Amino acid sequence: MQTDVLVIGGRTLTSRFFLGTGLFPNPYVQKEAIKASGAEVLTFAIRRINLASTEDDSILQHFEDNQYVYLPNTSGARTADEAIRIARLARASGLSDWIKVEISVNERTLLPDPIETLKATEILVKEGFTVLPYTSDDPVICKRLEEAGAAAVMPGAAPIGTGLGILNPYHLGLIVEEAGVPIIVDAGLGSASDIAQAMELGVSGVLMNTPVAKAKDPVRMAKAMSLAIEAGRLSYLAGRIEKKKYASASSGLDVFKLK
Amino acid sequence: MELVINGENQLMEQVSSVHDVIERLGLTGKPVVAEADGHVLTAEQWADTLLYPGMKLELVHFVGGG
Repeated sequence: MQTDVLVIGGRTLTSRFFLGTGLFPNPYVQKEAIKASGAEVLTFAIRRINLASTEDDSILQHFEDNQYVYLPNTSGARTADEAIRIARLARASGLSDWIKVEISVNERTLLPDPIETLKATEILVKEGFTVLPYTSDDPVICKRLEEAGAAAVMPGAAPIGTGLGILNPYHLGLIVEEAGVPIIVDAGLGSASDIAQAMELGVSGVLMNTPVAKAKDPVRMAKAMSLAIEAGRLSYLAGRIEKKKYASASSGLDVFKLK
Repeated sequence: MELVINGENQLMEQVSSVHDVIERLGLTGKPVVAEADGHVLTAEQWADTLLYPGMKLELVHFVGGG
């Protein structure tokens, strides 16, 4: 079998699992879950340091080396300008020039604002960032983001943290068909079956946080998701059978049937 | 000198650069990013970025997120 790798922004990834680092019960479980997931790309958020207690609450204290690709997000941004500011701060850390553009205004749905997302993507691409915008599952906006220079486009399956699974598989399929860059499903997935479905639709990878971190056993779920990614990917590459309305026997010709 | 750090007024004596502030807050060697008056600084620029009363500093870091 040919090697099936994913290339984003010139970086070759052997894992199609992008894992978020929020909401884990503790750093130990998080570390074990990351190991079990096999993820190479880890996402983070940028926040103000709490000056009242500057003991080390930075997430990075839990990661020893540079075996991971850091994908900071711009969560908390409500406009393109706010997202650009966060992206510049993230890059100044010297850890990564990858950025997940995430811009939401509606607190209840946290759905991305595609117009601000497109604006921010255009500018950040010009500034030399490797931009992975999180956007809605709309084929037109996904194409526009690709044309703006996004290294990969990340449509949501459902609102963040809902675990509702893929609400519009038809759109997701279209997005994949028309894409010239990797499509990563980001947000809204719930369990391994959602992951396999996404991969069978032909997406290049999935980004998850809540379904792993908030599972009863995050480490076991990380492994389950990783297997689902592999199973779904192989199934996609293998090519599934057509769906038919009526049965067709799998044991051959009628003439040899016992009578 | 009175500075505005992460939106709060902070009185800090005997500091002259952003580097001094980072040190005073015990953040040296930690993965911190600083912004002074809206300009993002690299760590190399901390020592050369001089403070003045009322200067607005933002100090941020990476936290868990998806």
